Amino acid sequence: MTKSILRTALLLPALAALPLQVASAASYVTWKNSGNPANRVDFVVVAEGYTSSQMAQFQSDAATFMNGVFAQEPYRSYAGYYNVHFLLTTSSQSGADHPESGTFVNTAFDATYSCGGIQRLICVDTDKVNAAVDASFPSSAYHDQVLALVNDAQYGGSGGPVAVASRNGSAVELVLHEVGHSFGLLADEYADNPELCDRSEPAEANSTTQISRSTIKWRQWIASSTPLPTSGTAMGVPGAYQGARYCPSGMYRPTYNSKMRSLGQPFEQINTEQHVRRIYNFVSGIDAFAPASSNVSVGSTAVTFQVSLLAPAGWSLTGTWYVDGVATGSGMTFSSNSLPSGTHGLRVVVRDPTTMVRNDPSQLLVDAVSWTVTKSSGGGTSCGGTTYSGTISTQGSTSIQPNGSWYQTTTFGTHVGCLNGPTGTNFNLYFDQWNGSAWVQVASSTGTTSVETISFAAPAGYYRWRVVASAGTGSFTFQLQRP
Amino acid sequence: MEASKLPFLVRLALVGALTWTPAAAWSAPSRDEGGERARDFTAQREAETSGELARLLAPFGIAVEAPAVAARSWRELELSWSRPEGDVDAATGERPAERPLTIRRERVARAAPARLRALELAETQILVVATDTLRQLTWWTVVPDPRLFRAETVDDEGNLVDGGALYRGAVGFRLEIPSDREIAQLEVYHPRWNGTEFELDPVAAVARARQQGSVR
Repeated sequence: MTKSILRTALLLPALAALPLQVASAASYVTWKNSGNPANRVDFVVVAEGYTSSQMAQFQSDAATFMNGVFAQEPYRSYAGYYNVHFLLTTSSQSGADHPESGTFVNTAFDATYSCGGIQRLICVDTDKVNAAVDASFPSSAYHDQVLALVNDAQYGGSGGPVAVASRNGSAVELVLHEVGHSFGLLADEYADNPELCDRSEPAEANSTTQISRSTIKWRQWIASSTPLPTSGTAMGVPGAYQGARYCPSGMYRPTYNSKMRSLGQPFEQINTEQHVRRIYNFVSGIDAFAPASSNVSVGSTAVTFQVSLLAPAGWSLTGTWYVDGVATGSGMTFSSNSLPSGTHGLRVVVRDPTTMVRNDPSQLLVDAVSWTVTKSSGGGTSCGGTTYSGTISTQGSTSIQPNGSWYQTTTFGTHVGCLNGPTGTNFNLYFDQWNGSAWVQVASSTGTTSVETISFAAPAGYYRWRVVASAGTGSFTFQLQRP
Repeated sequence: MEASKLPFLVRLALVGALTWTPAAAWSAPSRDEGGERARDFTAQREAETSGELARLLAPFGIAVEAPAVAARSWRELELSWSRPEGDVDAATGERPAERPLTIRRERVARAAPARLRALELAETQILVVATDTLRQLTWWTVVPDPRLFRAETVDDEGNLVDGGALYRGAVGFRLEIPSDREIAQLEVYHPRWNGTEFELDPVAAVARARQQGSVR
């Protein structure tokens, strides 16, 4: 630990000797509203050193600052997972204390440069900040990470549960680094503090004493051609680079450089992966689901099961539907028309297929919703539209619909066909399109019962349906809705 | 995770356990290669969290027998975590209370807090646990250590050259705790990494009924 840091340590008890702060609520604006704070990472930017007449400037400064944050990965890709609120706390005077020049101002959170004798280190009274934040928001779900934005153009800041930054544009980098600690739980990757060096295996995701390819905690990212230890200087090449966590030797970092080592650098792969995992420790990819009840009874009216998913920028989460443990569909909805009568376990498993994460031991990037669905035996499928009927008297035979013929559509639209066959049989449904010379199957529904549904969006053209008696014979009804 | 979702998580675990029928053969399209059909991720995470909490809290006589059930209502506690009041007591020769924890105020919370989906510890955080009169775990949370303060300095090229974690002497912080279950005591632990796994150092406790801090 350096002398300058020791001075800071001695100063802090004096700063902290204040009684518990009692704050009145301040108003806030939600600059970025991505959804329910209970299922988002919520950032609060607190105004410090802005007078009541400077609130517009604060909002502008805070927006500029947060735009700088969201310009970088993984914030850019996961912007939809964040809410950002600006807390409009007013100060009597503008700016911050500069003890080095004898300048002192009266501000809401007592921000001061030269904290502990380090000129660029800004301290605030975090008790006051926390009191103001707690008083202003309905719950802690609204402030997963707090940033005090100090109305001073001179570069400076600090880290911790309350990150501090001046409105100097370069402070964005410092805050990203500090949030890498406080939110990302990452270690420093610089190696210039041998006094702080501890060569036992660290807990953080981005430092290790291990040099064996099979035991390095980020081994999934290391190409087999990359030597260990790694001595190259190319950016973004995962390996094991000597020097990390204040130790010049005996401790390794994942990449030659990163934001946890030098400001102005990207986080790089391993730190980005850890950030994404942390996001998913606060956020489920499933934002909402319906029906809300876990036990659902289905009668003659179809029930649509659905999930609402969060959306990273540039790709989508995947949803896979399972009926009694068998994958039967994908997407965000599932119709009970696809279920046979009886009681079934229905589950949708949602996964983020991001390439930013290769190691997810706690399966944080996966979530699921389950229902127990009981469908009454009389509950066949129903599409509305025109009803046709038919009989298949020979197992394996086919009945063309509607009425042994085909039809033409002149616009793009959705064709929906619903088949209800005899109980105890297995009738299947197929949908064909005329390609100019032959009928080509474009959709099928081949469950083990005689209740089948197909919904298919198709361009203008010629179409027909086929009902096939795979097992058993008897009469059926076929309902058709067409564009 | 929102309160309305918490019952779902528990429900999900139960439904998954009770209704899963891997031998069912309603239809035979492709099965999932990753074995997702047989796994319940939420239940798995809950079980792992319970197991880890049980390991961590066993040295302190705290029993963890089941995943904490979702709360329906919450109370907000305003806590004061103070610094040492003085030197060695002249009369007893004992050191003074290191960090008394006091509940300064308690009120109905306006909204539910977020909930972590998995237990992930770090030395920059604290683990707060609630126990009943039988020292059974009834609730837990992990929050940033309110005492922590980070100072780092940067050279003109943007290289971080100096820094470290510092701890303030006295802090106030707030917690939301469930109001629909028995909580006799709140205990604060600091996670310490031993090179292989986390262990806990007890750093503060307060009996809720008396609203008076006890000291470690």
